[in-house]
Amino acid sequence: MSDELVKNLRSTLSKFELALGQIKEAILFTSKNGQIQWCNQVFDKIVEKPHIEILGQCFSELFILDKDDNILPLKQLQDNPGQEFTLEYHSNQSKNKIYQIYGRSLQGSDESISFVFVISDFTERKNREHLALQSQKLEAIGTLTAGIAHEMNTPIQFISDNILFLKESINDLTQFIGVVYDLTQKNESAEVMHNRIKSLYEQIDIDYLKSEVPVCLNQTQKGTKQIAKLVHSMKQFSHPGSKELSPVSLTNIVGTVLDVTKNTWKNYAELEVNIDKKHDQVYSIQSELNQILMNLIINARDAIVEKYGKDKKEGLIKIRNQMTKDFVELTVTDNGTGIPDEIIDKIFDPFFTTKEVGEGTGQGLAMIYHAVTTKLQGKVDVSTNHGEGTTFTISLPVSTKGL
Amino acid sequence: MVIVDEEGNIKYTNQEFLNVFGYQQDEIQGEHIIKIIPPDLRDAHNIGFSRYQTTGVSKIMGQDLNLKAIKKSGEIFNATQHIISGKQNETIEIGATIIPSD
Repeated sequence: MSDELVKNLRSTLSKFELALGQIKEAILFTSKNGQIQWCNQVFDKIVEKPHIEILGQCFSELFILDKDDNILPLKQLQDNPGQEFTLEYHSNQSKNKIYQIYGRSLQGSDESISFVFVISDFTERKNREHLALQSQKLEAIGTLTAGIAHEMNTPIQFISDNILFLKESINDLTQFIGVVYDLTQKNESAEVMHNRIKSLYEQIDIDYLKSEVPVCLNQTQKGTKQIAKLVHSMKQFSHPGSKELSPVSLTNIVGTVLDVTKNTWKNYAELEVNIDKKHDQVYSIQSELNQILMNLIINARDAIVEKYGKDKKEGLIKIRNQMTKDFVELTVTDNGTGIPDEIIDKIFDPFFTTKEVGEGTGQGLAMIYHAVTTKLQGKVDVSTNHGEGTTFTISLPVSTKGL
Repeated sequence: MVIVDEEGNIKYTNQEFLNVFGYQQDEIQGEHIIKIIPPDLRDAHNIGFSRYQTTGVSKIMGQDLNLKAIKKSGEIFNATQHIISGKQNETIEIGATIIPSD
């Protein structure tokens, strides 16, 4: 090779190196054993080592992944030259950092395999997504709190009225007993005593108290049970235990969510719940399922209100389950507006919303999709007829087998 | 110890260099320095050397480095290397001391 040509190539190489040092992503290439042959300055900074100490080191020893086997799928890349992959890893060195890694294998003219990696810092983006999910949760909590407050107010109102009535009744009864006692102390004739007691009995209307007090007590007891159930559901909703996949009862989930959301739909829609007890148990995370079902029910309610308005109660929301080969499907069907064809592909995108500003964050379905497909290891499906309604199907694993 | 010209061609080696790497003087004289760099590090060398040639910026000179080198036999060993550059009669020369550390 002529000196001039070598000089030109060296100049080209050095321009590339300079340029690759100025981008946000870390770039490196390795031998087929994962030994680093070159990296840009960004990678030096990520692993916090001088450039020269990185060269020749094993990629997986420098860049320790928070993954059980700490192994990049090099074999997979090697067997399929030219394959690309995108994976997210939590690096151990930089705590709380999330990186996305793109890898590609290259076959040299001499049959030698090498790998090229591009590493992007995903932390900020993940944090943004996390914040958006948080705000979605807060928004949902706001909606629920108003509804639950209303739900609780009704029994509290009549319990408080009942207590007032019971207080008056007890006053009357105490007065009656006092008069009777006084008469026994006063050697009055039997006739006088009889007349006095009879007239007071009628005046106080003890027959009325005898029939009304038990009714009032029963009603009060029912009211407190209603509140206790609501409180229990709220607790189930907010502190629902395990964050790991574990056996969860669909009946419990549906009951809890219907309790806490009741106020959001009861004026607009009938609920038809049909949970087949044979397929009641799924392997899932209760808190996530609560959120997912709540979002689906509130969406169904919104679609119904949009179609029929707020003055009518023509909505119907059906919740049911069925068994498929490996999953239990939980479906939520509404007879609302349905989803137009032109936006059906976008409904699971973060921040996509057809609602007015301030009415929705556009995170509901994105959150459902993310939670079901990653945390719950299931699937989400939607079928819709514009103008007739929508069915969302959440497929959930029935056991840990095959996960 | 080894001295190369600005293209990386070997100009001078001392006896100890020949002993350590297992070359005869006439085998190595005029050869490119890449010969003593293990294959896995040649990409890094090419890029680093190109950068130095084009921009004059080196990330490695003037400090003790622990680097691998390869003998004539193919044996790879660790060595403490110290690289400096200087001008001799208007031409740049690069010198390195290499002390095996295994």
